[in-house]
Formats: sequence, structure tokens, C-alpha cells
Amino acid sequence: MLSSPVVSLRFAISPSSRRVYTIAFGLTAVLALGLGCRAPGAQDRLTVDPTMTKGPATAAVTIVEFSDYQ
Amino acid sequence: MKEFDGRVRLIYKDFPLPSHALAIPAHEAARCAGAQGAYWPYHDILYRRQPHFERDDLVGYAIELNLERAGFERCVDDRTFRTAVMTDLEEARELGVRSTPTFLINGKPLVGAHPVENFRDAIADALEAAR
Repeated sequence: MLSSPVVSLRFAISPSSRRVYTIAFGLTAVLALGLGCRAPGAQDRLTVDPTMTKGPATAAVTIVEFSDYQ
Repeated sequence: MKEFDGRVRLIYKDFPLPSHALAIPAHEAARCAGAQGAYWPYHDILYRRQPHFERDDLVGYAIELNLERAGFERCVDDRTFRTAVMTDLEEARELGVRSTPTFLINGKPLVGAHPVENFRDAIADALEAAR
């Protein structure tokens, strides 16, 4: 349900553009956040600093926390 | 984390809000502490001492943790991790994150501060779905 408009957008503009790909990815995630459902593979595309993690990389559940110190 | 030991991984991502002037230096300093193997202890201090994130405060917290001062100061002053923090911020925005804290639990969003029971339930659901 979520992937079709995103794929259309990506190929309609420029399939070779990283920026366009990013926008497409963002749309997927925004839809997922808005609908309260899972964005398939979204967190797998994030950069991860190993020093900022707890728990094994092989864990069944991954929690990504976006937070602000102040 | 202890309750689900070995079955859960937590990934912390920087999302310094633009309305918090000292947030970016704090996030960069935490990564500087991480470079000396003390990310999580420094992270915990920042939450306990917020909003005191002036440069001297940040260096003081590093000293409390017995980090190597000169290296830490150099890291903070050179803004060694500026790009890394900005990358996290950009990724969050691309995901549609608008507020803190925002959690993704196996990709499923949980936005805002929630009681621990909500996290327990969400993790249990994710574990069940992963079977």
C-alpha cells in the first residue's frame, strides 16, 4: 500500500539521484509515522555509530531512539 | 533493556532541536566522550545536568568521568563530530521525525514520552512478530 506512490515518484524524477531516493524514502517513512504502521526496512538504512548502541546487533528487536539532550 | 536482555538492541540517534541553542554542542560532546569509550556514562550525565551545556560544563562532565581532558577539549573545539550529528538530524527529518523523543521499534513508531508499560508491550509485540 505504501510502496507504490514512492516507487512512482522515484522513477518519475531521476532514478540515479541520491536526493530523489532520499525523498522517496522520506515519504515512505512519513506515511508510516502518520499511519502508525511499520516502514519496511526504514531503520536498516540509518547510519549507526556502534558506540551509541546497547545490546547485540543480532537482537530480534531494534529500538531506534531519536532524542535531544536539552 | 535488562528485562529483554539479549533480545533488544537500542540505537541512539542525535536529534538536537533547533530551539535548544546548546543542544548541538552537547550532542557533539557526547560523541567526543564516545571516542574515549564513555558514550553512555556521558549521555547519562547530560540528562541529569540539562540544560547546563556550556563549554565549561561539557568539559567538566568529561573530567568527572576521568576522560583525557586535552583530547576531549580538542574534539569539542574542533567540532570533530559536527557532520555525524548533522547526518543523524538529516536522517531523522527524512524519516518524518518532528519531536523528541521518537522511537522506532522494529520500524514501528512510538512518539513522545510513554510509561514503561507501553515500551514493554511494544517490545513484546515486536518479539512475537519476529518469531
